[in-house]
Amino acid sequence: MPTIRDIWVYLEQEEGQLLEVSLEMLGEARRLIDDLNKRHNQDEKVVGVVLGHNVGTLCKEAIYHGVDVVYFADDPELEHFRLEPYTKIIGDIVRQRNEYKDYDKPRYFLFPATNNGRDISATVLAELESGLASDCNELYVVDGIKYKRPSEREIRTYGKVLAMKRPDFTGFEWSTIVCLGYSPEACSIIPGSFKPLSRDEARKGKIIEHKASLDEKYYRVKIQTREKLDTGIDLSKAKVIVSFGRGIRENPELGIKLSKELAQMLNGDVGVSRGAALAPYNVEPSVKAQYLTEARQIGETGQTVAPKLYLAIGISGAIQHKKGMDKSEIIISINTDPHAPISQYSDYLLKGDLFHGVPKLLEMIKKQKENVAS
Amino acid sequence: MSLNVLLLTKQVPDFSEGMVKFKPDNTLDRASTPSTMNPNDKIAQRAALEAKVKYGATLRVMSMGPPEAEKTMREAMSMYADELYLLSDRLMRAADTLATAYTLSKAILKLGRIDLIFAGFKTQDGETGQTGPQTAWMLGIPLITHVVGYRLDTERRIIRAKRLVNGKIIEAVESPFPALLTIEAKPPYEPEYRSARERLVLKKLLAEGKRRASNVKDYLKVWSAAELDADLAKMGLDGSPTVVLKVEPIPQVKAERNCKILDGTNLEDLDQIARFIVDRLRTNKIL
Repeated sequence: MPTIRDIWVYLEQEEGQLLEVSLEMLGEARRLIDDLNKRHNQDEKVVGVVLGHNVGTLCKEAIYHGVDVVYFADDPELEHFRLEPYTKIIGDIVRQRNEYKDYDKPRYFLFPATNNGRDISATVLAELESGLASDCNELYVVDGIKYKRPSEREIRTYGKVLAMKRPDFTGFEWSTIVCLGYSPEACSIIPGSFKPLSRDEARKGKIIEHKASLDEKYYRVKIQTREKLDTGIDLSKAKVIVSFGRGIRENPELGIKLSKELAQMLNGDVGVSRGAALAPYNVEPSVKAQYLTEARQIGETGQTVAPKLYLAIGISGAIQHKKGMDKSEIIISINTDPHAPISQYSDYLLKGDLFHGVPKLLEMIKKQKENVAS
Repeated sequence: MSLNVLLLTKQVPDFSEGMVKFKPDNTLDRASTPSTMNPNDKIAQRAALEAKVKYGATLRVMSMGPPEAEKTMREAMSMYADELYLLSDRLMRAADTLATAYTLSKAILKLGRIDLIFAGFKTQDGETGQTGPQTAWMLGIPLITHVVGYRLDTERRIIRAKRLVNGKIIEAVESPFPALLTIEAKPPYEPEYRSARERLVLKKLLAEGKRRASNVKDYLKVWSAAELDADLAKMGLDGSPTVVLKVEPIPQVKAERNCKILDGTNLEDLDQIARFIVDRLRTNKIL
């Protein structure tokens, strides 16, 4: 039997800064392991891994945020994220033994569910040949799970199993994934799911440098140029947001146009529910690229917003959507179904067809604005 | 030298509006929801077809799934393929991403020399985005994710690709063949066909694909687990570290605000809301 301990966290950094989600994962890892240690009277640690160039100072930051042991590899070749060398180095660090590590495999392994984090979680777990759940936002430990694989003769009981919960199927369901009989039990974590610990310089930890010397073949994919895009849509500071959902399905082009006009009239911006962002609506490509995009998506897997006024146009209001907008000061929704979940967290719900209601509302707001102005 | 490309695809439940069905407890009714070729794979197929149009590649399509996945093979063929491969076996059933990637990698080795493998960013059912990267890692070949465009130097056997990094940086990379690419879906990958010749070739291929799609069996090979040089214990449920412990419907949200229901067809109610909005935004100096 391999020896197994500790919770490991891949700490993603960008331009010399740990991503917020890295700190959030540390907070959750700390809580999980402290609880497990207490319940089982053991002393397992939170172990971090940071890769990059000039990342030494980040190790201290990780310690201030709750890591016990942090490994880093520092090399100009690693300045920007590169899947193959990063994967190989993490695999090497996990397998090596040193003055701290005297066991075979990590118990758990957390990665951020960013694009890079998802990619590397997949390759690292292929390298370590264990299981991975993606895009999780709730973790807890369970004992006594019974399971039998088809080829096994007897039912086995598994303990200290990490239950990894994720919103699934475009937000229709919650799935809880477990990894049984393989280590590490790994998952990627949706940014914003957990609270980081407050920074505390009194926290102590161990820093271990990993001197990477990799075969040339891991550097086969060469980066030629990098160019920053400026297409990011930041709705987090918008004072007014008009979001539309799948209620626009009968005439998506018109639904988007009305939402846009309403937003313009109120000096606001346009958001979209996940359902609508992913819907295969037949609209002009430029409209699609600008509005039916995850870049404008509000909710658990999109942006979290808190405007003064949030208008939900044809949004039924799944819990994922709620998590992205329920801090809005005033929420007004327009929906044909007055009992839609969105009614549970709206201040006002206009019952009716948005294609009739919104044009009337536009007219009346226009009139009001003129009145007030005069 | 000839160029061999492969598209990986999966048959998934169709979650588009009006297609998806639910059980009484609000969880998905997979049995009653019709299946379709994974939408992101259709986008990846555009990129794979681009290699056929511009560089004369041989285009193969591979999927793992039940015999009914022939429907997806037909969908893929309707966009054109030279050959279709379906990995289908009870032993492959209920595989997680690790077991799927293992099975795919073994089947890919059986195909002989493949220069470029195309995969969609993620499937609509599992939404993990893991299978493509894990397949590349098991094959030990370079992996380029979130590809938004590429050019090939078929003489030197090199790909130059542009990829979208965390949605905000375009990174130009260069890699030798063979490589696996996952194709960006947001915004959806769109090949550029500038010359009339390319557009004509594409048109002919699409017409030929439509024709072939009605006799899809003539172009389809079905491989069982025993036909792959693979460890059967690493496939299907046996080879899957992860297990779905439970599936729950999304819980109903408790009322948090005292919602006032107004009639959206009543002009007085609409006027009340319009006044409220304008007053509120004026107070906050937004209007």
